[in-house]
Amino acid sequence: MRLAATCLVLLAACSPDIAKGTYFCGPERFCPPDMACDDPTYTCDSTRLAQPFACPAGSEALEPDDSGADAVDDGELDCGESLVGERVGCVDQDGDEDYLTFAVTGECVGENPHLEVTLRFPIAFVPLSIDLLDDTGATVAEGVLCTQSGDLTGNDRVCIERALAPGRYFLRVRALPDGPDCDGDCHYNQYTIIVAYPLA
Amino acid sequence: MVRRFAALGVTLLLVAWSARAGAQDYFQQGGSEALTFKVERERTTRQKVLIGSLFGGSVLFAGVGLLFHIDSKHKSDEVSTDAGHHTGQVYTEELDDTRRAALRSRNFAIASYALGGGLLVGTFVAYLLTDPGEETIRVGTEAADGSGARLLVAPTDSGALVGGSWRF
Repeated sequence: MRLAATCLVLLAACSPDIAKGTYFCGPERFCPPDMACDDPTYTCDSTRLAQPFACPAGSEALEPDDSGADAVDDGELDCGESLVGERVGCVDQDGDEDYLTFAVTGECVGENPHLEVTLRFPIAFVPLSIDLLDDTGATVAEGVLCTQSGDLTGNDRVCIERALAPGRYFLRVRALPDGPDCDGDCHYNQYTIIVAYPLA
Repeated sequence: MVRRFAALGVTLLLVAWSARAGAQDYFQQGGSEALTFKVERERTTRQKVLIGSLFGGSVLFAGVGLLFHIDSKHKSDEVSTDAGHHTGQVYTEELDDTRRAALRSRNFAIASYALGGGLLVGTFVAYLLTDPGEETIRVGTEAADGSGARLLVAPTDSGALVGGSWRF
């Protein structure tokens, strides 16, 4: 009897025990059973405590910026300088796009002067994409996934690294076309964008 | 002459038996009463095979259960978390597969332990049910036909010495 009781106690210890609020939500708000994705923190939590998505405070301050004509003008991109540092944005509905524009006025001197764009967004909701467009609207470069292994932020990163000729450019942020979006139920996301022009 | 040898043989036998029995007086006063002792009977080969199989099965299932138990523990540790401590990890399909595998192994462990336990109980029951009991041996009993024949059985280390005496 004692042996049986010991076995039962040991078996109880062999059941996975996942505490609430200890994992970021997976793609398409994926969470363990009996938990739900708390959208504001994109963390798996109690179904009772999980809150619906809302754009972070200040993320829509630059709206409307949904087209090239309405793009946020960030001015001239200076050699070796940061143009945008940790700007928070939000894509909150189907078809929503955010644009920003800048101008490169001359050639930069350096070992490897290039545009460096990083877009960071939670994995839990629809993936975002970023494109570099020229002044005609043609795509110059597309962002590629650049999430570092061991990232513990629950975010994915998409990057563009490209040398630019002088001219006017646009950066377009939008939901990845045909990206997984919980069949439309999580077709939204927040993001942070960083734009710089390092010389090396 | 034959009678003398027979009598001598019986005497030696009884002396040997008396020395083995120590202080016990199996022959009692009078010497004509029967000497009895009990011997454990042996189980049949079939019964031994049955008990051995049941016990072997219980050990086997206990071992299998232990393997699943360890596997379950290992996988559970991979996904389990402590409250209030964010892992920084994203809950992916792979993690969920590990969680489900841990539960599956736990269930297999429970089933194996239950089967092993059942077989162990079966072993105990079979041991009791197939108990052959004891056999009572009588020594020195007069034959019922009044011929005066007497059976003599003396236990030894490896068995028994059987003899007899008759009247001519």
